[in-house]
Amino acid sequence: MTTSKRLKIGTAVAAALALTISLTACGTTEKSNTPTSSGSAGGSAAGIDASACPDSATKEITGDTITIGQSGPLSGPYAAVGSANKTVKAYVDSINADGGLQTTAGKKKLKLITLDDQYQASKTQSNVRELVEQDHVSAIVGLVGTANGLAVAPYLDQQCVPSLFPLSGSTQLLQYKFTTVGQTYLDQGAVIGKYLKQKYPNAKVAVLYQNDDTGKDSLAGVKSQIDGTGISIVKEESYEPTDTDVSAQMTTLAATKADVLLGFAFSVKCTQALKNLQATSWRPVILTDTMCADNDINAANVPDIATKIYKTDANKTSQALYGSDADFKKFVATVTKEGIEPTATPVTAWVPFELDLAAISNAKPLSSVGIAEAARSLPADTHPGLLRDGIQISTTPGEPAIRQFYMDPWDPAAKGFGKSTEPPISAE
Amino acid sequence: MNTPNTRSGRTSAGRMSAARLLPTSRGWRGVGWTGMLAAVAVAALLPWMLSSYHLSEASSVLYLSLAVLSVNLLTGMNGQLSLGQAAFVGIGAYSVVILVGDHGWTYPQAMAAGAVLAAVAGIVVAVPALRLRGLYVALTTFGIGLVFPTLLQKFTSVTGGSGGKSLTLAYLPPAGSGLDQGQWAYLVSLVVLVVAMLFVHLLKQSKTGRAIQAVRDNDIVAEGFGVPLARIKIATFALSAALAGLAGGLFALQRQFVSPGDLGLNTSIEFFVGMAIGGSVSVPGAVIGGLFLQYAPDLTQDLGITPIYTPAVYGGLLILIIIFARGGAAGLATTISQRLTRQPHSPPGLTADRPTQQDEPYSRSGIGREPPEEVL
Repeated sequence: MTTSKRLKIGTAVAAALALTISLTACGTTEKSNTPTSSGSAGGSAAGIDASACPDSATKEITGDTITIGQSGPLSGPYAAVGSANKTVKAYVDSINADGGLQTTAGKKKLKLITLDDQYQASKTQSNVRELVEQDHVSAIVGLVGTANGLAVAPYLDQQCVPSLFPLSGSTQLLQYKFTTVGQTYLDQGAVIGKYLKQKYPNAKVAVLYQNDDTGKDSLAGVKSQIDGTGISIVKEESYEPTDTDVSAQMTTLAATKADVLLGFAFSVKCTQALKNLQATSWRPVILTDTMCADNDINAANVPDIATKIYKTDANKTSQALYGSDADFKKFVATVTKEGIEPTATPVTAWVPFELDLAAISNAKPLSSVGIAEAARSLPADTHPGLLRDGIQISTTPGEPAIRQFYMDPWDPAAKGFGKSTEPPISAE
Repeated sequence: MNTPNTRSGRTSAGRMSAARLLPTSRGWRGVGWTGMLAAVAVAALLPWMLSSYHLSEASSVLYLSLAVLSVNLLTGMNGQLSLGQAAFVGIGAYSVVILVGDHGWTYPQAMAAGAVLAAVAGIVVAVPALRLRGLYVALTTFGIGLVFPTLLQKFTSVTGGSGGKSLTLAYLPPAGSGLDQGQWAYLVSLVVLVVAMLFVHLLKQSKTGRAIQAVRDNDIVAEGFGVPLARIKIATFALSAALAGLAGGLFALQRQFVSPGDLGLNTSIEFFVGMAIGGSVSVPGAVIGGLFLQYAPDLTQDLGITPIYTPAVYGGLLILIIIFARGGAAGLATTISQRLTRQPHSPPGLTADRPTQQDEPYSRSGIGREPPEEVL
């Protein structure tokens, strides 16, 4: 009895709080996220008008060192993701050990300053201000998180200091001129949509997605491709990132007996979804994106359904497949030297940092604004070592750099995703 | 900073029978007020002394101090453990970002609305907390702190979801003042904090303030003496939430961005640590707490401690404070000042200024209790 009373109280409190928030909102959904860009389009090819920029941003970097800074979760609940920042550090060390980075102004050493933000956007803001105003960095690299990237983007637009390829798959960052984006969930969704059109033109599709930008963007990408085709979405079920499991959603989806399941579920939820699926008699083709990783599928241990799982990927992630690849070997050697396990997270940090380096190398003149312009429109022959062969970089300013993905089949024998034998699909 | 008003100012000074100690105690109080005024004067000059980056750090201290002050009021003075203060800060911050950004309100209007909304939420939380005590109040507030970021993600269309929400309109300094945005944000924050501190200080000295603290020390006795228990508890909760909401308003004003990640349980616990470190019942102690929260992480990193151990440093400090200095930094300063003033005159054995059970009875929660000198 007391329990139910407390429960009631708890529900009342939650409901009241929800009411407070919805009252605060007064019903509008209008977004005010219009960018305060520092200049209008035009001017240079990459669309940056540097006339409003501080002198420090347009001044060419002299001396033999380029200072760059990064901020990420080195402590706190998300400290594990901080291995991304350690990877960047390891990479920088290896470059300096080889004598530096070739730029348009000769070989330069890199000085990297790493600060901890515990994945809190307000701390990222303070850190980035410190890096820009105290340490006078020429570029910000390796930011982790969408909110963290968004929190500093307007400021960096004012300061004309680029935030190079932060670890975020959000399209919201694309509106800022000095923030460049590596790849988005929207594009991965579009690739899945195109794959559906190719392979299953009349499929009935059921969807499980995480109810946040990640899941919604993925789904929006799919829809952008299948509207007006023979493919129909028969059921969409979402879950909250804080939900403990997805069994109710999976039961609802199983009742549809759809031909294809789109699984936009993160790590543990992906594992749970597969386990729930295994328990039913439903055996759809499963399409997923980088939200679901090898170890999530292995953790589910679902031999019956594992033959029909496909996933978007653009990176060389698996040691089993790329162990003999020269670039992958270099990556493994560099990170293991610093005590980092060469798993998926270091790879997802390595590839964008390779793009960062390409931007710095190609910047002309070598200044903050020059680096930003180079990053917005990388040379077409740029190819990060850990990017899969056959994938072409997008050179369009204001678009993500990586817009092509393979649809890799799961290989139950190897306990990992195999290599797709088909050419990559472009989201463009 | 080190006004001894936590103990000597009020209870002990009023009751101490050893007459010769009174002037000393008053003297220290005078020193405290002078110190405070000097600190405020220096703080008001900072915008012209610091670089824009250092000033932004100082602005953060002001917002953090106000948030810590709100925990001081609720937990330190009233004995209701709050582990969800970030939710009230969040209501204030989101109110400003949403009302100014989407509805065209002015900053002062939106900040006031944020404080009021936070107070309303505080009352809603206080009602169930009325029947509860100590640990259970802590659990209730903990629940609020836990559920708040989730609610923000639930109402993505309004709050911007996990990516946060930014505000493109800055609070512009008055024309002709020659101030830039950062300086103006700092000065506004300073005024809000100083007014709030003065308010809490006066409240503490008032009859209501004594009732608030009596509830902490022993609610049954307090009720016996005619303190309206329910009203005091709810009012303190509302007031504390309003202060937290104001702190959130300052946060939004300074950063023009807010996201659920900034308002998680971690943040609530940081405010709690700030309170314990500054001194749970000390008004100036809140600023010490704010300074600690802003600069300690940098300091530990500068000392070469790997960031991953920062929470362990916090935890260790908290344990030390609970064992050795329950009054926090402010309480420690008071104790030291009293020791210094007492030493030459006190004959051994005479402990006139030592708090007795009647002076500072044990509180049920143990929070807010002044440090027994035996321990120090």
